[in-house]
Amino acid sequence: MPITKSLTPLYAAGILLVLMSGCASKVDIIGEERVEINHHKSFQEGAFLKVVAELENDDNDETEGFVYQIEWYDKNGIIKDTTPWKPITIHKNQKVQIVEMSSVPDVVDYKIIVSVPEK
Amino acid sequence: MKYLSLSVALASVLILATGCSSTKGGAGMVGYDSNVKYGDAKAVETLTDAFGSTDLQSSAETLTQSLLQSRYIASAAQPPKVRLRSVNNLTYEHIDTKAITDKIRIKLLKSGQVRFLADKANLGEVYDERNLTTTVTDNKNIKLMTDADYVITGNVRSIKKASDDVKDVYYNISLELVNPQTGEIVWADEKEIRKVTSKSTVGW
Repeated sequence: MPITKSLTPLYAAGILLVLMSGCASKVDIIGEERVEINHHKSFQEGAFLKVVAELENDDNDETEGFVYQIEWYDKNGIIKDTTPWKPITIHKNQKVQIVEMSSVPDVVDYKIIVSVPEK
Repeated sequence: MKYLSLSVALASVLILATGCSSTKGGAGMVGYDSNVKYGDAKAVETLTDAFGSTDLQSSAETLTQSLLQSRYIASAAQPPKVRLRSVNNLTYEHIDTKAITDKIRIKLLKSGQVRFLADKANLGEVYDERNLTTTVTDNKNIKLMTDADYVITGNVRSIKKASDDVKDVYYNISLELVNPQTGEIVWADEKEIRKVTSKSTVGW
């Protein structure tokens, strides 16, 4: 019983770590974090993986111009393709939904990279 | 004399040792200390407001994604045969529209959902190759080579406006997927691009 008790927090920590690393690996913000990725999800559409993400500029004063890119990975974690960096503008206190689809088959995972320029 | 020979020996060892261990940086590179550097080919480029690499890449990406989702491609029993026709440049600047369609063709071929027939401009070359490799020309085989399920055509347009302070350029790249037997347009989509230049940052 004491062994089980001592292992429980260890399991919890392990699960938390896995969950955190799982989340962190799908999103990467380069530069100043003036833009937030509120949520993102993916689903299979035919042979291709589709990603939907909501990006938000919660600043009251500034319109944000930045770029983003999606990296597409196969089941072995090998990068299969990347989108070009795409420019996007979000006005102050606005949210924007981005939708991207891989154009190569056998993609099972993705990573959203947002690059915000320094002011 | 003893000290001299010892120091000569030490110096020789030092020279040999440095000769073996220290390889200068820049191996495999020529002119690595020049001002020319390689950059990210997919980076967003805003050097001028003219149609550039970012516009080419984002247009090809968006239109390919859209085309792959059209039911004529996504739900086809087998990958349809498509031929690229010309995309007209209706702007006032030089735009290599073939670069757009070539990029789309590469993406579509990599998707495995579409087969492409040789461009009309290249058909002569293909006929020549056939004549070299076959002695009897079979009409049925020619039909296979020339009959496309769909053709892709399109236009690139731009609208430019400028005030004292701001210059605005709008590009519209539109493509159509047409059934050549019926003339029916089965898919069409567009990519819109707006570029705004402030006079305070760039003079024109």
